[in-house]
Amino acid sequence: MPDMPPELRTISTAELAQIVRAFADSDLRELRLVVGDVDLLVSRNEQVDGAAPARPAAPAPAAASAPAPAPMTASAASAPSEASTADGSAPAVDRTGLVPVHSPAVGVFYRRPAPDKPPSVEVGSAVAVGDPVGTLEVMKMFTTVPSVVAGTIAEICVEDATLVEYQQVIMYLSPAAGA
Amino acid sequence: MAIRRVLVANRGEIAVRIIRACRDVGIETVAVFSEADRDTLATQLADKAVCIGPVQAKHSYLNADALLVTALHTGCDALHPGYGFLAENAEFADECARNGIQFIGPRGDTMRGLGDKLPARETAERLGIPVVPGGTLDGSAASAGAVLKQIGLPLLVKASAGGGGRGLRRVDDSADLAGALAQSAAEADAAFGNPTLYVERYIERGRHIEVQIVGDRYGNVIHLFERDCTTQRRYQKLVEEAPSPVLDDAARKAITDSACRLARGMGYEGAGTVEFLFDLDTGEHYFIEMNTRLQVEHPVSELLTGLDLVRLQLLVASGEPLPVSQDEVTMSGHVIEFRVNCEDPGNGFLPAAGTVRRWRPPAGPWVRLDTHMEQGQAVPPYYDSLLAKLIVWGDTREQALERSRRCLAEFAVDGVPTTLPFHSWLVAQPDFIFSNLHTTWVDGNWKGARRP
Repeated sequence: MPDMPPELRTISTAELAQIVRAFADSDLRELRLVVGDVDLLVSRNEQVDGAAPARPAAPAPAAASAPAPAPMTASAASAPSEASTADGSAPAVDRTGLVPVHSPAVGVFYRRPAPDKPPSVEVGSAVAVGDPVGTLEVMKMFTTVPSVVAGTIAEICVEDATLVEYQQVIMYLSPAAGA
Repeated sequence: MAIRRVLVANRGEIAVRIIRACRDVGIETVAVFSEADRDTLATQLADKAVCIGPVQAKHSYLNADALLVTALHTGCDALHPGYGFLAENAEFADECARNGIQFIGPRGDTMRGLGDKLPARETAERLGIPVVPGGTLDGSAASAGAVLKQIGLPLLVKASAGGGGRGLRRVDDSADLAGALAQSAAEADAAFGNPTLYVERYIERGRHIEVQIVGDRYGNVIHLFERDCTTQRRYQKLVEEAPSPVLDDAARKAITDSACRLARGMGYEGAGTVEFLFDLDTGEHYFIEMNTRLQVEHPVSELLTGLDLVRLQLLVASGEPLPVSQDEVTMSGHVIEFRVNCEDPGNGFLPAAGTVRRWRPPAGPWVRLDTHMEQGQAVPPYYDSLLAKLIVWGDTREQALERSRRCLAEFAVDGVPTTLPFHSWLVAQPDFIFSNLHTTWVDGNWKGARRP
């Protein structure tokens, strides 16, 4: 849209989500997009080839990570949403290098696979790709939430038996070397 | 009020409308949103907002489980469906009830009785409400003669089993009838595997007139008079007004009586709209269907009567009786509503998407704007294209029109196409000014009605 005034040469969060989704569905290894103030870098490579974005604003190192628009939910959580407290409410914590695990649906998150079983993971637990890290219940339908990378659980962001939003960060993993 | 927290199971302007009505009476709200609607007015105004799914409606706003789990775990005791999405889904209404969530609308079984056109027509006939003369036939020339005598010409032949224009045929001359029936039956058989036909009188010059009703669980029903929605394009309403310029007091009484009789007969609870076709040539009205929800154009009746329909919905859903009797519902002045859609009126009203670069709505006395838009807001391509409803009140229709012209001239939107140029043209047309139009008038008179 070349006829746009400079202050509006930007990308909406919805458009950003579409771009990330399109990237996830493509065979591309890396995509860099600069529109006005937005400098977006999405990459599947471990070593990011493209020039690093000038600002760390876009938490693009969704590297290796899921096809979901991960950075979006972490940074753009709506203000009145209590359910989003996991996201961005503790700016003091340095999560560099950590990989988020997102809720695949809106539902109730349980740390245990069953009431009489121990929690699937604790902070410090080692997990492989696909290992269960918790359970999600949507109207009596229970599904396992799998880990997206191999590594150790660095932080658990939601309380047991609470409502989580679609794509809300449930926990952070510290990826194993070479994962 | 018994209801304390409402899940607003919708988006856009209607979500904002519901949140505001709740806030006015001290009810808390939980907004739900898809990823496309994170930064919108409804999520900002609600007491709480929860992301329930991706952009596709079937995984978010139409996802019954996502809505219910959110309602249950955010402490909601009621759910308002708005319009569209799950608003007229009887199973969803039942599912809410089973989970102890008050669905703000009629009961599931009421919706089932009115949901499909044929059962609704039978219900109306049983209650003595006029329906368009017609009937089903097997396609033979023998039965056709009898039907023709009963219905008269011109008539419309339709496939009983389906829609989409298959088998649809207008017959003006009795000599053409047998051939038309045979052709339509063959088309219906090929398309739907069922050659049964339905014929009804073709209303050459009809006005779309609907009656707003509200019922409570104690059998009380009131109407809020009619809305005239004749300015439409291919059954898509563009402008609604009240009172109807073509009804006299006797016709108004007849049509509102019919609507209330249907609602009483169904034990209708909540707000609903009974739609009629009004034949300009005979002055008769015929039942078409009943919409078991709050409608887009409900503000027209609100400005006409001074009643807040969403507030009434909340009251009757809380189990309270209607706070007003029919005698206390009066109409005053004239109201016109214009739908500002994100569509290109010069290109067959093709829906568009994009970012609103400039948004300068009109204002002033007796002007209401129901909208969720603001400057810089994205219009996602996934949902209904309604951006705003401009509703204008005047002491007379003439005054409402004058005010409308001024408002439409003030209204400036850049970045996306809108239906505003169509409305500006419409309010200058003698046929609209003198109410000489009928339901297919826009298709024949607006040069951009079809895609080039």
